[in-house]
Amino acid sequence: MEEILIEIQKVNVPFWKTFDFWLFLTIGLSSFIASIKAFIEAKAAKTAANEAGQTVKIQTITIELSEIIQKLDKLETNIEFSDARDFLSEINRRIKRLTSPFKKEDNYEEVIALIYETLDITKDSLTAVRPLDNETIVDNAVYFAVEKHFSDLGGLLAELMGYFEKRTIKLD
Amino acid sequence: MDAKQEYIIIITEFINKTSAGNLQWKKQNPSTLYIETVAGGNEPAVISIQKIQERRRERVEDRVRTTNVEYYVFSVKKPLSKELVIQIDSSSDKSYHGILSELFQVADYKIEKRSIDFLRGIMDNL
Repeated sequence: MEEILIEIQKVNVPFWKTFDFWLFLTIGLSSFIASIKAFIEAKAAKTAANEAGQTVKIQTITIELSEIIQKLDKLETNIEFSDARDFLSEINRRIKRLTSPFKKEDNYEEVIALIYETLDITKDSLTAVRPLDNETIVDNAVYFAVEKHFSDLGGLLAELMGYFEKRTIKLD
Repeated sequence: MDAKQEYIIIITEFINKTSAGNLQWKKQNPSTLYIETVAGGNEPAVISIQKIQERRRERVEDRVRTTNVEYYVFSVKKPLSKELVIQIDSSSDKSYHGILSELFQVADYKIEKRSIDFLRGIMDNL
């Protein structure tokens, strides 16, 4: 009887004392660690991809902003009201499309608000030179009305470009 | 007498002649008034005055302060040759501000007065 009991005890070894238990536990833990590592790497890759995407987007925006600045610099002294109005409408749309995603971000909020304000002021100044008839005798009146504002706007857009470029090359 | 004093004397004469009704100013737009005339050598000339209003910004202790600024540009141009004879900008020389402001106001008033007289004439004949 005693021998039988000894045999039973030999057979009835706890599972955690078996080689199988430790084998499966090691495999399980390795898989779990590998999963966590894969998750962390995937997350890092996603962040890197997002940052790369944003960098490309910001580079595209700075190129467009520099095009607008160049156009602002080439203002003709005898520009007519209708041309100035069309030009202002075009740059107003483009600038707002390019900057609106950033207007609530701390780094850009102030300069973007000033850009929008300058666009509004320019519109008011242009309204002050809206012709009363089709005849244009004083051919630089529109130029005088908007030149200073366009110059201010070019400066503010350049400032914004600087902030974007700083973000692109990560000086922070 | 320097050139500036002479300009001021001439602009004062413009004000006086405008007040007397001897100069017929026209309005190209709400802020630009002009006269088409013939100069001494029978060469046409365009005399204009433009009121420019702008808001200027300046940074004061990390804050942006906006102020309204008004200035005038007086110019004389030969329309045939497109030659700019003179241009006085009161934003660059503030001593012209008062006299150019007065010229603009007098000329603007005379244009409005002409319109009012014209309307009165219509009303009287109705």
